[in-house]
Amino acid sequence: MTLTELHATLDRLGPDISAWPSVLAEPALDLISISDAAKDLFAAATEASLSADAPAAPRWQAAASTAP
Amino acid sequence: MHSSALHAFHHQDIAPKADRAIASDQELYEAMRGGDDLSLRTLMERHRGMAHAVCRNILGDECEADDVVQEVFFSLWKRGGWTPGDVRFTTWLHRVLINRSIDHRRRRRDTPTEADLLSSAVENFGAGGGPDPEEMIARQETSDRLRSALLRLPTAQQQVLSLHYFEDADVPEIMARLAATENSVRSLLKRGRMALREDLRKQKKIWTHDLDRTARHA
Repeated sequence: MTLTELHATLDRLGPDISAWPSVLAEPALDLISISDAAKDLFAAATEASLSADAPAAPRWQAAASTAP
Repeated sequence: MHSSALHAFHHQDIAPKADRAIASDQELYEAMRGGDDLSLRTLMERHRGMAHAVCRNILGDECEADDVVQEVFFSLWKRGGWTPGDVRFTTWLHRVLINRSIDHRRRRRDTPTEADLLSSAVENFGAGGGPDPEEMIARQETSDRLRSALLRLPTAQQQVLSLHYFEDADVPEIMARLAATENSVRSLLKRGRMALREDLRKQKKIWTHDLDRTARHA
């Protein structure tokens, strides 16, 4: 698997590689284990999915954070 | 952080907890390396969520992910490993977590589960495969003789050889488990093997003698 293919697969299936079919998961992990760029890509995808899952900040907090 | 900065970090007037909460990862890391264990706790609290998600996404198991996160933070506390100025602390941490999770996943894949062993035993039985009964008895006898010979060795040699042969422990693991030095473990292994070989050689003479007598009487 190439870095571009990993990127595309992360976009399509999300960062939970444990749920990927093994024909995709194993080559992805082979690449991630040897490439720092692939590791960083996977970590960024995980971080993005965590942020997307996080509950929205309460209204008062959002208001406070935008206050001058 | 220079030692003066580290000193200032430890002894600022503001409450230490708030102090750590606003400190950068690098400040916390360096304070931790300087012996401030609470900085490790702050680093863990700050990065645990992401660390756990990275590991869980590879391992697919919450408990295993927790174990890997603990291992990595323990090793961070014990040995450090990050070089400030190289990459960001979080980048480095994620790379280490990913490597460790992949190692765990591969080890798990290569180790047959109890269910695998049971099903292969059932298949072998059904197919009439596996070792024949005589071979199994001979193997069991050899194993019994080896264990008896081991029990006749001095305790230290016994411990080292048992860990090495029956629990597959390598030298570093034996050193850790027995709190012994490398030289001492290697020397015990060497002397233990020699003593075991000698003991088995003597026993073999006795077994051969017994077999001859049995054959003559038959």
